[in-house]
Amino acid sequence: MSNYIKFACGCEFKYEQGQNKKLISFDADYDNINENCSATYRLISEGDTKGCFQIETGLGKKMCREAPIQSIDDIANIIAIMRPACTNSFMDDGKSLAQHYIDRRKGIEEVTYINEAVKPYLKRTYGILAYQEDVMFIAKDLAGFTPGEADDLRSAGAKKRADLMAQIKPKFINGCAKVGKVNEHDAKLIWDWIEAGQRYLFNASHSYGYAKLTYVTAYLKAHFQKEFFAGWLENSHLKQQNRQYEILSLTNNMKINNVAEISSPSILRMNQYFKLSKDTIYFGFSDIKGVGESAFNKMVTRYNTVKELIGEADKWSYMDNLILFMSHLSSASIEPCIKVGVFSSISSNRTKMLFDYKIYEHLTDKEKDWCTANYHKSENLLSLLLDLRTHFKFRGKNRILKIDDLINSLQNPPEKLEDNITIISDDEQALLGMTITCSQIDSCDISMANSTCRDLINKENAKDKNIMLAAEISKVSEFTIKNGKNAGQKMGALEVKDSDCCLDGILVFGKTWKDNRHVLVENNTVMLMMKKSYKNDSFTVEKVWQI
Amino acid sequence: METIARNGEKAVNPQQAEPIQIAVRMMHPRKLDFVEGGTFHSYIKPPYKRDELHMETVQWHAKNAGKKVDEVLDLWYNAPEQKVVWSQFIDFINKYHGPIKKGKFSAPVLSGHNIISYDNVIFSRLCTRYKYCDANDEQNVVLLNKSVDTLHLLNPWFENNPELDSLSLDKLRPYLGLESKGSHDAFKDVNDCGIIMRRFLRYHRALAENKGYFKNSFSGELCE
Repeated sequence: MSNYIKFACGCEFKYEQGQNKKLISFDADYDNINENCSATYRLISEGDTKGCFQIETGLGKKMCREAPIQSIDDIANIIAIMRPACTNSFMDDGKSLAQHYIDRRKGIEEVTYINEAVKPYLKRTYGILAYQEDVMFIAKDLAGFTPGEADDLRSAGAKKRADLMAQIKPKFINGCAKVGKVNEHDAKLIWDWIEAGQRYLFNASHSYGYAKLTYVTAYLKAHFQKEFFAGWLENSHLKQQNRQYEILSLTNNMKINNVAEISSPSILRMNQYFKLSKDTIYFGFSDIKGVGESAFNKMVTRYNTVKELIGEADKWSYMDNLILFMSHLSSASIEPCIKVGVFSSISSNRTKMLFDYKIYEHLTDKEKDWCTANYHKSENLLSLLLDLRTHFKFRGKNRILKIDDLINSLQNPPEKLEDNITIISDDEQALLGMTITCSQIDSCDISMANSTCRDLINKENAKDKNIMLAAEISKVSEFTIKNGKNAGQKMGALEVKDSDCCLDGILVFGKTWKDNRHVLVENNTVMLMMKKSYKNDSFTVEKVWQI
Repeated sequence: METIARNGEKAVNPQQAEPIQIAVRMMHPRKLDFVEGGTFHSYIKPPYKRDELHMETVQWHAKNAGKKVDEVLDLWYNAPEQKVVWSQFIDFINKYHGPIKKGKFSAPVLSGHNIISYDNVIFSRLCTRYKYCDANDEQNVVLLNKSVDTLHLLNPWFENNPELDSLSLDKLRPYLGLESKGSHDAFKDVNDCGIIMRRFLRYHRALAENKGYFKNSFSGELCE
């Protein structure tokens, strides 16, 4: 049955509904996409661009927030000017080319043109020479260049060929004289301006191609957030570099926007990669460190075997899981699964499950076969081993003593078989790249805190000063201040997280940095007293406590 | 660890001693607080027959525990065998690496009283025996050279103290005001060690945090 879903921005999509009104697919019609969607431009302008092509970096977000984004032209321009060549090109007034563009786009700076003759070509970039194609248009219009000659000029500049530029210069000057739209003096000015610009110009066809893709990704994110994140995560296994960091950033963005919950992989799903189910995105089994494709395939095979015997995993008991499933697979893949909570639907106590699994692994194959045939009468592993001890025909006395040892360990375990917040969060961090069930901060006294990371990102309960944040430090970077009265001093930048999400842009200066360096280390839990810096949307730490 | 040896051997010799009790308490490295739930405690069956044991040492253990010799022997011989306990002990240690696991480089630090010349030697031997070692048969579970020995930690503080003629735990307990009852039980000993270590490490850290005290403080010193 075809339906249409309409959003407040006016965009409409045809989609197919399955049973229980579950969204199966939708047709975004990329070729005829609405390029004037207010929701999309609002998303980009707010800097909520994580996952959007080309503009998801910190610089991209910052520029999107600063410069009004209301068209594909605006997106293309931002993509062109956010490159280092433009951000590091400073004009005589000390302002970068990129900042000039932003200020002109915002209306803070007057839009001027080096010459009125170039205005038709630079109107879209507010007088800033940003595109190689604009150089070609100018050369054709003012100097009468043929398309081929104009392309030679473009190519010489792009390849930084000073020798070729020197050859083309007299052609340009003479051409301008012939065409007569600008005098010789202005022609030389324009040429010098073009020559200086060659070091930072970008290819407009690339920029607009990227911009279209940027718009489409933002468009999808604006309308189908859950599916957008799920799609990104489901295909994240194809990404080679910085994959863990990207997953962490994306899931953080999801949490901040209340898009969906993120969950550990589950025996109830048996999904190899990330998968969206209702309002939850589940990690895949192959996302667990130590569980590769081969191990996952073996798990699926065993799962299907057990499913034929006793049904789906939601019907398995603790002993079904231990005897029929886990014990038939390699400990190298099962132990990480236990640690991240794959079997939490069967038992929430991972420590006990791991202990029982390791005890069971001490049994011989014949003993395990006996257990498989007889475990139905036993409530737990201890009663099963007691049963085994009584009824199984052991080969020798030594083996009986070994079983006695295992029974003794179950009756008097050497450690407390209860889950510990620190261990769970460390294991999830190590095996999944992020904490899901709990975080280190959950085991600390955070009664002094008056804000969370989410509050500070969403600017809820906004405070300017005396912000008290309890957090775990995830990353510490040290810098040397280059300018100003504190030039030469060290400062720190922190990324922190609490049980909800992550926050960056936390700065520590001067004496506070020096005196607390021993506490401001990765994986440490601290209470930070901060004040907000409106200059650059960051926070400055005033005091630090170990918690 | 509490240990035993065979007849003709000495439990004080770490190359000959075999553990009969092992106890561990985990301490947070920054906060210096005991980790909740971070305890490990087990008796271990001696790897010898009862009549092979060094009887004087057995009697000494029985006296410390306030039990009869037979009761103590029953306690040990009903405990799991060494291989089982050792694997559980290593698994326990390996839970506390933190989020970044880099083998022995991220492993917890072993701490104890006179640990460097005694317990660490036994630890290395048993790790090699049960194959928790590298290709050179050297244990690869923890970095032993990072161990914190409370005996070494206390020495500089008390070396000139005439009230303490020895830094054994038996002498330290009454001096520092710790309860002596139950001493030479591994769990009691490890608790007391942890408390002592925490106090003195905090002293060290309080001094170390005053960085201005040390920086450039040696300039001008002449080597005689």
